[in-house]
Amino acid sequence: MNIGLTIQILLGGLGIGIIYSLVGMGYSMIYRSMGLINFAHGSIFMIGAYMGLVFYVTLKFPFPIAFCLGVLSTAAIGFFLERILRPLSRIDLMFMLIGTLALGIVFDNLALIIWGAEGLQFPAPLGEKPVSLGNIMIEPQTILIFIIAPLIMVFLQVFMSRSKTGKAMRAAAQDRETAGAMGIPLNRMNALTLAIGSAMAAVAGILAAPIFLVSTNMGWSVAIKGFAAAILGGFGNPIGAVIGGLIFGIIEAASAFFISSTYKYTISFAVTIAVLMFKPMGIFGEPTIEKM
Amino acid sequence: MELSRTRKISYVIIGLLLVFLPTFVKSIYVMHIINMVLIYTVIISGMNIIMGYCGQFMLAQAAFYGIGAYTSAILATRLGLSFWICLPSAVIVTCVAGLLTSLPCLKVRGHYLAIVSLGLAVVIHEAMVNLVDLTNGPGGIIRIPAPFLFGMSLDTDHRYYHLLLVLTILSILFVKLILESRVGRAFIAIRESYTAAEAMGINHRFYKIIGFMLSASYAGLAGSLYAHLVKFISPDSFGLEELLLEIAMLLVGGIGTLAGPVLGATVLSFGYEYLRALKGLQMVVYGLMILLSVIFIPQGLVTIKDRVLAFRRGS
Repeated sequence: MNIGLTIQILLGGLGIGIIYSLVGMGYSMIYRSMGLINFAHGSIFMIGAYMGLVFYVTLKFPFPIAFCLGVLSTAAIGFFLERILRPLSRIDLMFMLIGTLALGIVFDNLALIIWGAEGLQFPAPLGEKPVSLGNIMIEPQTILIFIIAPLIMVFLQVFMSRSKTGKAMRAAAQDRETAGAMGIPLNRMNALTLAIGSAMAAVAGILAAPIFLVSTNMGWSVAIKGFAAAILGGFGNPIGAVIGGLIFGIIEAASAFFISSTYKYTISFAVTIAVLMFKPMGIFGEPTIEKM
Repeated sequence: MELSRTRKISYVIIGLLLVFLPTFVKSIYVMHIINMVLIYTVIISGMNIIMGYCGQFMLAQAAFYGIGAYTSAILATRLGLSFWICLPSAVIVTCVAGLLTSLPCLKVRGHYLAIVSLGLAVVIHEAMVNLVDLTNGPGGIIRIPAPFLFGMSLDTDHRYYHLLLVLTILSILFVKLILESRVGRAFIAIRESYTAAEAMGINHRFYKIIGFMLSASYAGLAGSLYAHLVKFISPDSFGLEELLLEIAMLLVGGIGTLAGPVLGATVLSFGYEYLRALKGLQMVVYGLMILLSVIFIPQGLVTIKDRVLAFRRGS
């Protein structure tokens, strides 16, 4: 077995896996604070990619500025989404599923009206020419993903654990009643969480845009895989989501290379299901006690 | 069961209306929508057993629907078997698929069950696309023969209707039968509380497997009926969008009720067609319709009558 090739497949898998991680973290954060599984998250990912496209390609901003503007505008959408999603949180899972999915359908079709059905090219900001390190070739976009995504994750971790707002958000997620009694505005905290979750989906969307084509239905497969990643890691645990996403990406890349790319969903889901057979609450999930 | 006189009369009138419906409906297009409503009623009634009564978040119904359609289509086109053999075979194959699917699902609950069953559905769908030798891949299967009944070919929507009507009514009555049996009571006990059900001596694994098999069989029946009605099937008809539509119908109609699937299938099928006039906005409004219905009438449209009555009484 060629070591260079192994590393190359590993890097490719990690590159796409980190995208799933970002999406999965969004799911987990929103679930923890609102008790809501937001299946419209894939559509937010898609909107993020289009926002990036608008600022970068249409308005011709330099990439770093376009990136920030794209992420911030998607975060703003997430912030206002809280009011729509509020009645859906903490209700029965099926209603949550279909309510948020219906919202996703609305978003997808609004995007279809605005941007049309044709997939749009997102030019890679660092160019298309692969960089070679010895006998390993890396796409410049993968390098960009490796730089930006971990930075954002670390920043988020610091923000959540150190800043006053972050602490308030965690308190609201942990115990609503006590946090409310302490004067923490719960709905605004939820809105902030949704904004941050959406911003992360936008980061994933803009970073993945040069790899995929930007189109109105690009969100679905990432939404499912991000959700599966979050489940694999243990739902509600952001670190678990990161690791789940990376595992998912590596399995996908390895199975596409060694077996066949036609069955890549089958293999990644087979692994997820197999893991859940042994750890029914995910890898890092804590067992819960069912209340009568 | 004693029915009141007015109830009896209204049942007879509705029955007569349903039987003679094709003579009033001239348009082939409207007749096709009506037939699809009946097919969806069967699928969703099955889904209602596992999701509504047994409370299990099972997301593989569209895949089972596909297995039923493909089984029937392959048997009819490859082996030239009659519809009357294909239909029960499709039900049996899907029932076995339901049994196999239930096994990995027994260990997990809630959203973990959702992703396991959805994952299995994705696997089944991918098999439909990739097993080209068996399913002809993305191209689908064409020229599926229409069934023959008493020497008459049921090759138009008007002729197919009565077959569908009878099977749909039997399906709904069978759900009622299940609910009134020991099995139905066990389902509801499991839905209300696992722990309490177990304490009552209900083996929840056993009943969940039964629930999966029943739901899958309904989807298989509907799939076979669909394949012989439209005569062409492809993997596109059994994907994620189909699943969403089915869950939406169940919730909009009223989950855990007998009439919910009928109402949901009718309202969303006709709603979808009427909204075509909006062109690009069709799906936007459709999505909003589902979202608002889930938020404002979570018990489903079956409760509308009670709500209107309560409103009139001024409460």
